[in-house]
Amino acid sequence: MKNKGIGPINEVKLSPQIDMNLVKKGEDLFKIKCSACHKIEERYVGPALKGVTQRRTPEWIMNMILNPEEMTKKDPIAKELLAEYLTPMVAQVKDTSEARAILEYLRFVDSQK
Amino acid sequence: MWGKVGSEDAARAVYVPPCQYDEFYAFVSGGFDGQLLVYGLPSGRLLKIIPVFSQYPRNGYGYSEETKNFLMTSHGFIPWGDLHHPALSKTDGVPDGRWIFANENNTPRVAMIDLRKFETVEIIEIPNSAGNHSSPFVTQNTEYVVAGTRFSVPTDVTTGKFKDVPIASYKDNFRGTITFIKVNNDPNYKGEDRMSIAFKLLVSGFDYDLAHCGKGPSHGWCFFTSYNTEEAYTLIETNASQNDKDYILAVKWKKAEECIAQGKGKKFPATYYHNYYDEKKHMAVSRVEKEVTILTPQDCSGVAYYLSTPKSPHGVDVDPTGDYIVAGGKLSADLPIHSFSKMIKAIENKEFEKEVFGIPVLKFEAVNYCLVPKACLGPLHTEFDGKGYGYTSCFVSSEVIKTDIKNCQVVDRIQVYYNIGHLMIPGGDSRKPWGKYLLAMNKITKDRYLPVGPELHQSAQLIDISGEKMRILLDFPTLGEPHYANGIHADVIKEKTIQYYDLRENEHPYAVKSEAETRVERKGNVVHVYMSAIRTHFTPDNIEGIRVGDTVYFHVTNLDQEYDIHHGFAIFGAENANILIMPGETRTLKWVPKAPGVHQEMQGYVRVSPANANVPLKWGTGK
Repeated sequence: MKNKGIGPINEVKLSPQIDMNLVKKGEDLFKIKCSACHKIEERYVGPALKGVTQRRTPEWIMNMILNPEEMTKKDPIAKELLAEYLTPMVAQVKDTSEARAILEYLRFVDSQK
Repeated sequence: MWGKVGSEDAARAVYVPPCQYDEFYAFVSGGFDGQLLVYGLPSGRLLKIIPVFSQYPRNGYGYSEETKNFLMTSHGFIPWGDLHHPALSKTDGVPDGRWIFANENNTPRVAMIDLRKFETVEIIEIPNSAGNHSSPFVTQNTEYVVAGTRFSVPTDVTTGKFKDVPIASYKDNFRGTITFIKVNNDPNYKGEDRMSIAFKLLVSGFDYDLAHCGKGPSHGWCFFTSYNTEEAYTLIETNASQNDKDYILAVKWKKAEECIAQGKGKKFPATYYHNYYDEKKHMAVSRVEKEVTILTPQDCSGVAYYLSTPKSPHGVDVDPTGDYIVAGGKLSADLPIHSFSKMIKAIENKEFEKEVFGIPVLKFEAVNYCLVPKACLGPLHTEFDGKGYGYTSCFVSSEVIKTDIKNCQVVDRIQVYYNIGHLMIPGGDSRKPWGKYLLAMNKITKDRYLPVGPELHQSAQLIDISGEKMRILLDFPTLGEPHYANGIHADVIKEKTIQYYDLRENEHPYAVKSEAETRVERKGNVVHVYMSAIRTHFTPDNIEGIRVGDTVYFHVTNLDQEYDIHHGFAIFGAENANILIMPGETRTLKWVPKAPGVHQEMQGYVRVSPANANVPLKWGTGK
């Protein structure tokens, strides 16, 4: 799990503590911008997101959120996912801080049993 | 076939590779199509059809609940209109790319189109009018948009209604009106209704055909051609062409403002619709206006003059200096050019030949700068290149002539195919034309393209005017009958266009912000479906519990927030149209199911049960 993906994010410093304010913001954004295609527990238009923070680096996740078009053309994992799901992911999030909040929400989800 | 057009050389001049952009936007009237067409120049590519005065099944304009109100008038819902003249908003006499206005000729109206999104945002009806043809030309800073009657009407101003009188009493009862629509230019204005009728000038019952407003020295004035000074009402082509001279009406709107401020205008009842778009709620709203201010020339001395002009002038085009006024004398082969500064002197010296309806008529010699001798047959409209030349369309002789205005002579001419009406140079009616291309818009197409039966589209020809001699580069069919057009350099607009609507700002009362908010609600026989669309599905996509006798509203919100990801929605058997929903937008399709059964809606199903059924409402996606 070293692939950082392709895009504006080179490095994300994560604190071991989850920032609950950021989680709240991320959850709201997830509902508006992601939930029509991604569920946590089940495959929908795109893959289920449970465990994504264990499968991928934080940089990869943020680059996928912010730069899906280039990712699905060049990144080997993203290319494979597109071939499986056949629906290109939409660049719904343009703002880095918003992508960071969604990442925090996904970390929170994965911290729950 | 005659008139060889094109060579590899010409083809190269109009070739714009994909992802490189045209240099100009051309806004071409759709004519009896009722729409406004956006072409790129020099490629001649059709970029967009903007629905304005006609329903548009492609995207549901005029069908969807949000846009139906745009087509409301005092005569009810009118699904069709005849769009003639686009007019870009101007600042300091130069097109500024904020809005473009367009007139409806048949049921008099004026529309405003927002060039951030290339969509109609406002339509105002013009009362006491018929044939709104000398419209919607704008003043130097878009203070006003004008709307004059081509066909005078027997208005009783005291009631705002048409009088029931014999047509033969035309001279006694029929009057023209020149309407000035005020435009709210305040960039911080929060309302959506930017147009309002400031005043109407009551004038004699001639046919006010075309217009243009002054600029520079002539700022503060607008000019209208008039024919039928005979006031004929039958067999107009002949009976309205008896007089040797007709008139240009010069209106000093700054004077009208003064008179109105002094209380010289009178308020009269009128009923007209004013439809405008609430951007937050994504919805056109109709307001019925009840009053207009009418000013009569007798009550406001100096507000208007008639300029004696050879036989049935058509176009009245003010050159970039604001001094020369070219009047296309449809029935005169000599092309008259008037001078604004001469006109002002003539007014000072009272060089009047008579007075008509309280308006002094200025002598021809006192206002005319020159007559371009034997210019062409059927000169109609003139646009300018900003280098001292005017380009005039000649309907009968099917040509464009280039005239040295100052020296009053034709210096070049070129055949066009066939029977040209209007012509357009980007910025060619402004103080700063981009004098590189000219678009000729022709009434007759016949042998230009592959035959397609009796009904042909009209045609346009692109002419290079950058050199001494004009040169045809391109020839292409157009949609509808193109009347006038306006063009602008792409740089003024292209960076300002928006790509999608922000979902967070969507205040449509039936919007959903996420799939979690989707639902179906019944209120008696009315069912509201709060639906979302996102690549690649609708939620809910299965609905049960709809009954015959219900009226169902599908309120579809496009949750995508990316450029060019719009979604379409249609219902099998619905008596309206497809709707297109732009990213972040909400649109509503109404459906009245007629018989029990299963109805397909795009990728899902609606179950319709008999009127007396007990099937509960149920909905979902992926369940």
